[in-house]
Amino acid sequence: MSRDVASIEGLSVAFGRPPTQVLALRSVSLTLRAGQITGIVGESGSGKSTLALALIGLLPQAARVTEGAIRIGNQNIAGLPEARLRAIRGARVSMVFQDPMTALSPSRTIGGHLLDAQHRDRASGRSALRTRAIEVLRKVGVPDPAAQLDRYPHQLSGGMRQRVAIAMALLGRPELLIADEITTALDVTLEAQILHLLRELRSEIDGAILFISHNLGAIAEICDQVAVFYAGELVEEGPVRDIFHSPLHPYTRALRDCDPARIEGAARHLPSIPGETPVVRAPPTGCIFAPRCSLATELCRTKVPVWAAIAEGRGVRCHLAVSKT
Amino acid sequence: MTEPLLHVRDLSVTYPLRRGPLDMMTGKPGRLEAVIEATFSLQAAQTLAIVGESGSGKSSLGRAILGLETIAGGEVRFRGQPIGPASLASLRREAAMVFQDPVSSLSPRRSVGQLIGEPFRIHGLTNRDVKAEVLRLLALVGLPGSMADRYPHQISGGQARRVGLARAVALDPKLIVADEPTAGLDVSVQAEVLNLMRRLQDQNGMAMILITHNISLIRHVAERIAVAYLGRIVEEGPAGALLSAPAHPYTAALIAAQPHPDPDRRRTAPPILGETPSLLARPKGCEFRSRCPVAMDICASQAPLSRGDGTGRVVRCHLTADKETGT
Amino acid sequence: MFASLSDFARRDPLGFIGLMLVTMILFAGLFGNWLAPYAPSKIDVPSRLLAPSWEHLMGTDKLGRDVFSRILAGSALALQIGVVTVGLSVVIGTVLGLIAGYGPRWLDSILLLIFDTTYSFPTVILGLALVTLFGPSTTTLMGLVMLFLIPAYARLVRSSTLAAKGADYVLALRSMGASSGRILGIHILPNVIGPVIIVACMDVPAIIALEAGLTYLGLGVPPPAPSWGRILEEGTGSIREAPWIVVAGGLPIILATLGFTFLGESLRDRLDPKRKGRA
Repeated sequence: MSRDVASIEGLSVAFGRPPTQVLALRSVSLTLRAGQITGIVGESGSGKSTLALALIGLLPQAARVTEGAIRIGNQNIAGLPEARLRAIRGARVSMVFQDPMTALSPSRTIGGHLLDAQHRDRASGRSALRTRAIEVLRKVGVPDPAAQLDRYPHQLSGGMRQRVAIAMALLGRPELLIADEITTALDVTLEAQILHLLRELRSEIDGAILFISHNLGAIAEICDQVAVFYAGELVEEGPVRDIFHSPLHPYTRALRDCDPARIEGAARHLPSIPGETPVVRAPPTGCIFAPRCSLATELCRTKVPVWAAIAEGRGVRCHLAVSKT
Repeated sequence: MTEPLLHVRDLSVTYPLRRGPLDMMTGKPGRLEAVIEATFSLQAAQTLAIVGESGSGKSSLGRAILGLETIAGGEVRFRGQPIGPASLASLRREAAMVFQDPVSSLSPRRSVGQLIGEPFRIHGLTNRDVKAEVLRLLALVGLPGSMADRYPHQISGGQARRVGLARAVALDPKLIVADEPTAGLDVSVQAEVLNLMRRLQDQNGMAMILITHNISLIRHVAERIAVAYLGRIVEEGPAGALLSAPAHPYTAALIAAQPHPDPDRRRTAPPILGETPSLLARPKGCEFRSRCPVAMDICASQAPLSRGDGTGRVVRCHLTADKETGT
Repeated sequence: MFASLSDFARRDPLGFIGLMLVTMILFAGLFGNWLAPYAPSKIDVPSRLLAPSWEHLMGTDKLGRDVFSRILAGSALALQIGVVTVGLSVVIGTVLGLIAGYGPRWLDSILLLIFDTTYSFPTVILGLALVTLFGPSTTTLMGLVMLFLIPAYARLVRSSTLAAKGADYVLALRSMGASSGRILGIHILPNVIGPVIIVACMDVPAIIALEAGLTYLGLGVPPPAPSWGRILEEGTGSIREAPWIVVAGGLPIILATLGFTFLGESLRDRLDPKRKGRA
């Protein structure tokens, strides 16, 4: 088994204070390994973005880590002061954001952005940094990279900007690359290209990639390991084939079945999950998915299911799935 | 054949661009052609999906049908009548629009009840019991009557979409133009909105134009599909045939680009390279040529014309034209 | 809005102070003439330059006039110039701004040219010119102030109207066949009026201070009208013998400034629809 790059152990994150607090993440444990793309699937309110921000030490002021650890390598970064976190961001952990239109500063050239991304490398001369910037731009599929350095973000198309943002993230040679909904704002034909780029990078970088998306198709396309989040909890984790072919949690199954791309032929009535994702303000007293679950029993409504590890990297949080296996 | 509910012929929409003296010297065009010579028709109770990526002109086309854009060329006929200043008022009573961003399409300082009642007030139908109508419409889209006192910023995205739908169907329209009605919704909720639209359509017998970028979704909701690229409809035809055997290389690429939620069906390479060119720098000849995997010499020199294949499908591609002359 | 005044005072103390001060000034302005213990312009030379006492709360000036009565009477004038002028400017500016922002482009260009031209005149020079032409009077002063406020408010409304014009909800209303008047009056107006009200609230004290300043320079309200600026000006003449006159003249200007500013800040928070009534 390959090296652990980052691990989250029993992490709980809350926003605000009671009674208006939001328990955005509850007892989440997850390990990210080198050479793997781990996919995080979840709908709005699942806590997937909070998880990403926790991993790069960028949780907003209102957020508190109430329990658990966030380990990058062997270092627990939960509660570290800002100065120590800054040394981790961009160097050990990098992040690419959803919107390529706003992720780059409009008044700075592409070359300027790429030099900034290497600010820790003081030893190398300017020309060496430039050469490296061109090399990384080529790696992410930007045509004629040397000519792009003097251009401004608005002169580039959306797809090119997202490639530049990925190049910036790679320049710090991170152990962990976080890609938060990076294809959501792109056209389908572009999305396919960026997904393939990430897949190629997986073998290139000596680290782990965390790919966050609400799009099951994109997850299935490039991930090795998949973690399914619902309302702040990790409800199921497993290798990509297991998650899509033999899901254990009713939510995973329902979510997969909702995807119109999966339904062959023309369906007049599309499956859905009735209800809405709850905002969790107090520790739940039963399974968090029970109100929307078609299989929920009395047990589900009254007892919180615990995480059941079935195998290395495979587990589920569901009363019914556990009793079956 | 009966007169179609909606007939769009050679419809073009252009936007003027602000140009400085320098722009004129460098030859920057004075206008942006968002929609070029779109032609299609729609029968009552039918759904047509207009599919395309950014820059395809699909939203401009949708708005032009409802007279919300200045038409630069061609015409739109609704129930046989060409749309013009005289017929606009009746068109807007019988056709409604559903917008992409549900919250921003609701006037922020009006309550949900006022918003749903707005079409009645606009068309002077105050002799009806507007309050009762509002409650009926809320129930129709599956929202509680108490929702009427809420304001747009107090409701969720899914609820706002239902409010938008309730308002659209308030006056029993014959046609609904829906621009990305499920964009930004979670998959688990998206289906509910689509099912609701379907149900409303079955009840009222209205026709629907669904504008979307999501090709995996339209198979389930549309009878006909029009694929737009750089403002031109490149292929149009019955949904099933078009999806199972796309004739235009761009349609094929769009279908193939959609990732499949099955790790066993991964693709080895992206189905199509490059990006949609700028509307101000259209390629010569066939405009898809710059990204087309099967482009030929003729594609660079000559723009293909739309041709029907006799089965209700219209394609704008030299490739299919060749096949026809070959047989 | 808040359930009760005490709740308001607890949640937004500065706004509450602002509201109290503004209410006080409005009250003084409306009923000052009845409340004044003496006729504000009654000259009583024997009792000149008296120090504050129970008989004369703020003392008397060099003509023996009761300063407190003159301050009360002056608040009516301050209100007329501050509140009435600003209010009229808000109404006219908003209408012009809505027309410029929503109307055809040529009309917008013409109105914008007019706004920019009037706005670019230097205040003091134009003030001097107007006073020379029409003579110093309250009307001249109000006209001068409106000449500057109307284009400022109109520009503000125009830019938010332009933004609203492109918004989806306006497109939605047009798609339903709503008339321009309906769209402007019922839907756009409530969304663009907020910023103007806030700016106007902040402008009221500035205008009152401007009046005082111009009067001090001899360009404002002619004597013997008891304006705060005039009281201040006359007070400086006898600042050695009777410093209380300057204090009495300056105090209402400071209170008005604080009151309207606090109220404006509070309104700014309140008029944002996303901040109020969030569930």
